[in-house]
Amino acid sequence: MAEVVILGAGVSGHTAALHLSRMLGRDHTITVVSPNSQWNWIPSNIWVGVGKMDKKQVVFPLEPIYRKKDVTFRQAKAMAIRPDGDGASDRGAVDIEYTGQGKAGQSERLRYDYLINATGPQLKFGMTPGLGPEGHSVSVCTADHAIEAAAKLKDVIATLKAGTPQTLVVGMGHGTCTCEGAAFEYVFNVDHELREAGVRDLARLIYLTNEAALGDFGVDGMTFEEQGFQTSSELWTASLFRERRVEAILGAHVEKVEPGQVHYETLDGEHHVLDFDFAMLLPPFGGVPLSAFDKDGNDITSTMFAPSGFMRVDADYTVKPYEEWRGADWPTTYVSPSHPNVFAVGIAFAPPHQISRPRKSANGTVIAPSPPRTGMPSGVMGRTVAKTIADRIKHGPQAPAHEASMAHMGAACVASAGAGLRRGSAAAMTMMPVVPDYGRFPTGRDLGDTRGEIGLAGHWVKLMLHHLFIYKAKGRPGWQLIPE
Amino acid sequence: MNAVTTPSDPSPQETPMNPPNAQPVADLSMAPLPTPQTLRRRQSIPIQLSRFAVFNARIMRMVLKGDH
Repeated sequence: MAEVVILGAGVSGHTAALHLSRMLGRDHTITVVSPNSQWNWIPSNIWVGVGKMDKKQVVFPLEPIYRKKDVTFRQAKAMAIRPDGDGASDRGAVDIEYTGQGKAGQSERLRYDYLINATGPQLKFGMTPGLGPEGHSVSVCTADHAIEAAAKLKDVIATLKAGTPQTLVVGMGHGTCTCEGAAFEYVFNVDHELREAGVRDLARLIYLTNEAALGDFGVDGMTFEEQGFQTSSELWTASLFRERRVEAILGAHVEKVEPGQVHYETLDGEHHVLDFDFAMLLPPFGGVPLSAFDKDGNDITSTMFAPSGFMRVDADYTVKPYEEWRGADWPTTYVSPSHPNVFAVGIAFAPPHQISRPRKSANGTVIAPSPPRTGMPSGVMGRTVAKTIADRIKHGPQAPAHEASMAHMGAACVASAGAGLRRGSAAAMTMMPVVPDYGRFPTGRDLGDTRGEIGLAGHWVKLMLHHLFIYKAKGRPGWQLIPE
Repeated sequence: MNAVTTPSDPSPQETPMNPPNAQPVADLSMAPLPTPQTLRRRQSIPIQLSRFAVFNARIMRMVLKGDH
């Protein structure tokens, strides 16, 4: 009987757990370790953040699902990995510390035959003084953050209705943030709410981003084919911003947030101060802090993890200039190079480099979007690693690993606003592949699958994905037929 | 007061994007605005039903084409 331990119950970890449960049955032990007792469909936090959805519509408790699927659940956080075992056993182990289940604060050492690190991001609000719910801005990264954002937005709308102009800032809280698509979606939703409230004319809405150009989205922008012409995601996004009267400040690194003021530096090296009444600024991500020790207790954290805290996998981490980046740099199997029974998926794996061209300000400040690896790619990675582990448990450790490179997989990004079937709208994008491959495609991506559309249909897609993915995450009948 | 374009108001008008301040706001004045016909198409149920089908077909094609 093999034991598989999965650290994290987000999109990638939960997907891996469901597939392993399906593929391995009751003959083997699958244990999920997550400090949170609930699963959160994070893309819909955007709707919670404008008051269009309740928290209970985007979260559900994990334990009943895992009980049905014969998955053991530990509400705990992982503290250390011992991939070579310890003095008591050669088997790998993880040290965990409980955060719930009546054992908060207690520690335990879990043995494993296979380990999946799917811990997701650490929200590093601390990298920008004053950023985040503990500071002077709001966030939509968690359902609780989104509830607070919705309350503050409601207050701002009330002030606008009283006739007082307000400035709303939405964007990225640091020069190295990722998830620009989420900020783009939130600004689109805020605009929608302001229009619905009849106060758009009094509001100044600003998108403050680390992207050097609109439509970059941390993936170096996209080329679309439309009516016989090639156009850029930059022009497509600029059109939407102009139509919606959203102002854009580009190439910005937020230095600090004070009450009602955001201080930022732009790529030209200039420093600016922007007054605001409402600011939703996303934090930069880092790896969830995990230590690693060898059998003798020596610290091997720097061997297994990149300085960012993300776990090294089968990527090419050679430092090279943007012009030499290739799709082949990206990992395919997500296996740790030092331990073939350890994998990292979703945000937890260390990317080889950014996707967008990295830039520095005239003062040397790094202003470079980090590569997105959430949503569709995260789910695909979770399933791929689950298939590899299931094969190795059934057929032996030499069974070949399954592959899923971000240079070969597509992704969809739907920025949807509104509620109901007839009153919403959306800017919906698909890209194939996520990491551009100029060797295969002159524009880096397949023009047949890389598209941008604006309209009600995208809103329906987002609603459909919300219900489908929650259905799938609950492991209801036929869940495995819903693609990641 | 600036004119505002909404999906239900298919008459986009030129609006000043850069109020006088010190912020380095991007100049989007060259970005194309949708025509009234385009705005209507974005909200047309029959047209959007077909776009919905096409979008989903594209996602499925991407899933099938990916090496996973």
